[in-house]
Amino acid sequence: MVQVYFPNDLIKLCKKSKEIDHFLIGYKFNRIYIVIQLLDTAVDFNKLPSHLSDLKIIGSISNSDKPVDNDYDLHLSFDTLPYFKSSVNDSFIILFDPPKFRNLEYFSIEPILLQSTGRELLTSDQASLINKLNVIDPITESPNNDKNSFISDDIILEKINLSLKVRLELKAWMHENSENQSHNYHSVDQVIQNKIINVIVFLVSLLQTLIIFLIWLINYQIKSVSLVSISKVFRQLDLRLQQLNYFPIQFLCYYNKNLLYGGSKLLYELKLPIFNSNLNINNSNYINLFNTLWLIFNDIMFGITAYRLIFDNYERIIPVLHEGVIQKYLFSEMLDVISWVSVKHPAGFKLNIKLGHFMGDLYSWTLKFWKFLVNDSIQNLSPDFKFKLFIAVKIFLKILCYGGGLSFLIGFCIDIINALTVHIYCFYYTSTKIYKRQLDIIKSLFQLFRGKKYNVLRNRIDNLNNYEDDDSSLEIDQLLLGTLLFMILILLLPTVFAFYLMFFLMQLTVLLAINFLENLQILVNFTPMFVILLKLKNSNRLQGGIIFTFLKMSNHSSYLKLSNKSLSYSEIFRDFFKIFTDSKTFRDTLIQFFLQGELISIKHNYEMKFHYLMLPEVYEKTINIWKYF
Amino acid sequence: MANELLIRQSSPGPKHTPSPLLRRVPSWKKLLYLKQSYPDNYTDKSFLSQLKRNTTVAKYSYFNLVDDFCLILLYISSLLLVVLMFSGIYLHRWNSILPTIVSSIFSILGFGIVQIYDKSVKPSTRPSQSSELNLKSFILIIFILLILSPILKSLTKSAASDSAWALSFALCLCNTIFHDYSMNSSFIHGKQSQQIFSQYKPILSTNISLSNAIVLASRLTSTSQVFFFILFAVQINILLPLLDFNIRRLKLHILHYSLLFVLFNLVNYLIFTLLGSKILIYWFICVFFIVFGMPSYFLFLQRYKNELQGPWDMHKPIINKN
Repeated sequence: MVQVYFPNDLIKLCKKSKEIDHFLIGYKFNRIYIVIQLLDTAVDFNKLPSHLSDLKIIGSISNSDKPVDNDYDLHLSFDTLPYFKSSVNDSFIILFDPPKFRNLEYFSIEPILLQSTGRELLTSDQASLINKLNVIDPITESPNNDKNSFISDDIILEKINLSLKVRLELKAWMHENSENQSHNYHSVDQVIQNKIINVIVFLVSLLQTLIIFLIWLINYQIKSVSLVSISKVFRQLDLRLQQLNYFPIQFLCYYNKNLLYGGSKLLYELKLPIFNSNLNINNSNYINLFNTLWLIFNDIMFGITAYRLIFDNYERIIPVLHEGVIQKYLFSEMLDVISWVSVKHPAGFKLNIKLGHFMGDLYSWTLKFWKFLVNDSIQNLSPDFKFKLFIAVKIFLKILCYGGGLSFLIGFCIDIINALTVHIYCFYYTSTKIYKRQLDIIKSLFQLFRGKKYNVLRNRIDNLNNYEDDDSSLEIDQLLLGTLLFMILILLLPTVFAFYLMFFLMQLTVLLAINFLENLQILVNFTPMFVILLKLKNSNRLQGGIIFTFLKMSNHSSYLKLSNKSLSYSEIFRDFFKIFTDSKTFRDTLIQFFLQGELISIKHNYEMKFHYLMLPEVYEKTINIWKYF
Repeated sequence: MANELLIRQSSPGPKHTPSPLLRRVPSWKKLLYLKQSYPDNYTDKSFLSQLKRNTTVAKYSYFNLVDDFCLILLYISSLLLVVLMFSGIYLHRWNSILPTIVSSIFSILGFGIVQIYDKSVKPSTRPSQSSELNLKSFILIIFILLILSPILKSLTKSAASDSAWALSFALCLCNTIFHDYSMNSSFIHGKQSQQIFSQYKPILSTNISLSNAIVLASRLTSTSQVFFFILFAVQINILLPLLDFNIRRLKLHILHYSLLFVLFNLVNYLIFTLLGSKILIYWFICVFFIVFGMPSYFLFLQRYKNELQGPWDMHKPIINKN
């Protein structure tokens, strides 16, 4: 079995000069040959510099019929495609386009890691398949196996990836050899360039210090409450600042590879969520950097549009917000619903009137107080102050939209909703607590009712009769008191439940609205827009693995084509869709929580967003990158 | 009696005389580890000698059973008395104070008598706790009821009467099913009678009785009526069976029968005044069936008892292997 990897551009060269014999320069691994370059004359390869030292002459290619006189292994002829002079069984000639490394093209078995939402565990199905593969195909397990190293593993792909670079270096070395000249001089341009770069570095590091200070400030906790934890605007600001803070590293990793591969401690100190030391982190950094830039740009454009829309229709929006939402839905309609549930037999259910009246009075009194706080206090302001307030809000929104973008505006909307519906949350909270307490008491009294009791020490239910002779057994008066309370609570439960259900539905509506806005925010913040454009433009740059295509079979050797498999849309979007479902959740246990009287809320997993963007965990250390210059 | 105990009080292993003729063949033994000169499928006559049938089944006498079934009558009468009293109060605006006062006096009297008698019979032993309903509990219950009666009054106010009646009926039905009637005729002369007596604790039926009283009382109009009615119901449905149990424990049979007689006739009178003579006749038929028909049916069923016991381990079916 012989495998020959032959670049496509050398075929063109061969076509031009059919008559000339060439030496094949390349690598040899067992019986795998990788052709890098053609040379007309033999060169002494022993003098090669160290990074090219494993390069050697692996064979020759000639169309003449004269017998081969050199002692290299590989003897090819050329027609339209190269073929073996003496036909070898089981031979493969694999054609490939040498990847342009400067364009960030390369071959890789592993797909490129653009975003991540945590390590994925193998399902049992996949694990069993892998086990089976290990049993059936033990060859791939031992790469040192002499004869059978046939698979295009990472070593071979790396040689292929570097082929153009090696060619250039080889050419430069031969050039040097022939001329023996070195031109190491500093032009005046370069000096000026260096100075400009120094100024830019200074400015950028100054900015970065400011950003790090800001991040620290908004994350500063006073009694475990920070600005970020209470406000969505600041949450969004935190994310944006962390993105900006990571830009220099993303940018410099792309332009200065020593940072990536030089074994610097910096990247380790940052505690990046995922870090593959493979080739593709460089590419993914580049893609992520430009994706983020693109999205920020988009975000600000949307924000400006939204700001214009709001203030063009200002006269129409304010009455709707004030009279429609605050006065109607959040106050008068709610008051109607509360009175409906409390005394008017909602939907025909016969609730306890006295208790309903009492609870309804409590809630409607609180609601009136809230209205006094929110609505009336604004209305009673002097028109002069109102105007000032309006200007202040307008400036604030302008800064928000022009400086941050639509995502900040959405965050602001969420904050406003949270602030305006605080009374709904309070009602929901209290009714849930009442319901839960009542349910707990009913549960334990029910055990008493049927003559059992819960044994805390052994975590089981005992008969009351178990302690017949003890003094601890229940007297008849205790039993009667328990039953009395049990009956009262059971008969009052529907009334309490009606209030609970009402406020639960209100809270659920609020949560759904907030959830919708957060989805919108994710859409603005995380859509892999640049990746899709890249796929449309040059899909070779989205490495999703390699693929071999069968071309033809002639002279007992098969011709294969090695090409890149670009990432599919489902692979691109998989993690993106995961953010919607995993970064916040409240639905999976909704009904259970509702029946048990647990509070429902949106549970956020903010880490996941940083994880997705591959932002560093330790944001303060990013400033250290300038030490490496 | 049809169910006789087929007990063969034979000693384990067959009795056989060692005759000189049979000495060559040793007798069969029920031991698996011995190598015996019998074929594998050999079954000796002595194989089932230790089988016992119906060892735990007691013999019943009809009159003792009638005596026991009277307890059912007593309890149903007490339930009916409360329900009838309620309908009198609810429909005919009877005063609920008088019957409550009468029943209170009688219950205090009754428990006083029992306690005094208890001490005179067994001064050494501590009386069992069921008779220990002291003054403290009594006053406590009264005050709690007094406090809670305004709440109780409003509980089912907005619901329809029919649902309250339906709930009450279901509760009464459950009550008759789950009540611990503490019948003991089969072991009346045995040693276990005292043990059975001490285990009387009808927790579930006590709770259901009170629930029923609350459901009925919540339909009444005034707070005092609610209070007095619930007190009455507690005394009749909970304290009366307890009192009767103590009377029977102390073997004051005359008191027990007179109590039953008074209660039964009170119920008859109430049925007659509230519902008419036709219902009364139905009620009598029911009582006759409970007190005389059901014991004979019970005895009839005893004949089908077939309980086997032997020196072997029983096979128990294994359900739910997982």
